Amino acid sequence: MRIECPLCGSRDRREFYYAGHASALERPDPAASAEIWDNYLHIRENLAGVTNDLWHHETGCGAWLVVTRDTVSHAVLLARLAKRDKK
Amino acid sequence: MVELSFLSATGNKLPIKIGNVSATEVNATLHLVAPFHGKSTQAATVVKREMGLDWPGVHELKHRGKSYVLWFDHSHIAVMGEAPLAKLARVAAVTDVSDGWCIVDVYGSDVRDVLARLTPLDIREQHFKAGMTQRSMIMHMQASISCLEKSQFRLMVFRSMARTLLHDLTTAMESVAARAQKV
Repeated sequence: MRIECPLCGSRDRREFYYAGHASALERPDPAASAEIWDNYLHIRENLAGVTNDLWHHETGCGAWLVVTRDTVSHAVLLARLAKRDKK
Repeated sequence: MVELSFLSATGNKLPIKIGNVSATEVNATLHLVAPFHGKSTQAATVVKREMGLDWPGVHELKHRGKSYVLWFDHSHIAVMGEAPLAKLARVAAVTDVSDGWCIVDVYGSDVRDVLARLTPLDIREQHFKAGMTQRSMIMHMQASISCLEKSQFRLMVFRSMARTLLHDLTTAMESVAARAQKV
C-alpha cells in the first residue's frame, strides 16, 4: 500500500501512522451540548465505501494528511494536507 | 556562551571503508528554522542576504562552501554550518539541535546499492539527484537523507540511534561488497 503525500510524493505505508476518521478535524464549539461532544468523541460511521482518514507522515515530512480511501476496494484515492481542512 | 567541544556520536568508529563505499562522521552545527506565522518572506530574505542562498523548497538542498540549507519537514528548514542566527531569530523559531542528530556522509560508486538496502525511498539516480533531500526511514529510524553529489549522500538520524545507524550501515555495506566479489 502506498500513499501519495502532497509534499513527499508516493511513499510506502510504513512511513505513515493511522489516526482514525478525519471527523476529528470537525471539533465542536466548546459550549456545544454533551450529545454533540459525545458524537464527536465516540460515534463513528462504519462505511462500506469511500471514507476520509487522518494519517500522520511520521517518518517523512511530519504533516497530517486526510487520506480518502475506499474500504471496499482498499484503493487509496487522494491525500491532502489536513491543515487545509482544519476549521 | 560556553563553547562545547565536539564529541563523536558514533564513538569515533568512523571513518570506515567496505568494498568501494566509505562512511565518515560529519561535525557540523545544525539549527532548525521555522518562520513565524506570516514571516516566511522575511526569513527567506535573511537567508538570501546573509548566506547568499535561496530558501529551500520541498526536497531542496542548497549550499555555499560548508554552509547548507535544506528542507527538513512540512514546517522547518535546517541550516548546517555557519548561520545568521540572531537575524533569523527575529523572524523565525530557531532551535540548536547540533547535539541531537548524528550526521554521516557515505560515498563511493556502490553507495546507491547500499542505501537501497536501508530505505524505502526510490534511490535511483533519476529520482534522487544531487541537490535533493528527503525525509524517510533508514531501517526503522526516522532519517534525513540528502544527495550531495551523484555518489555521495548525507544521512542524519537521532543521535541516540547513532550506533544502530552504524550497525545497519555496516551490515548493508558488507552485503553489497560481498555480492560484488561473487559476481
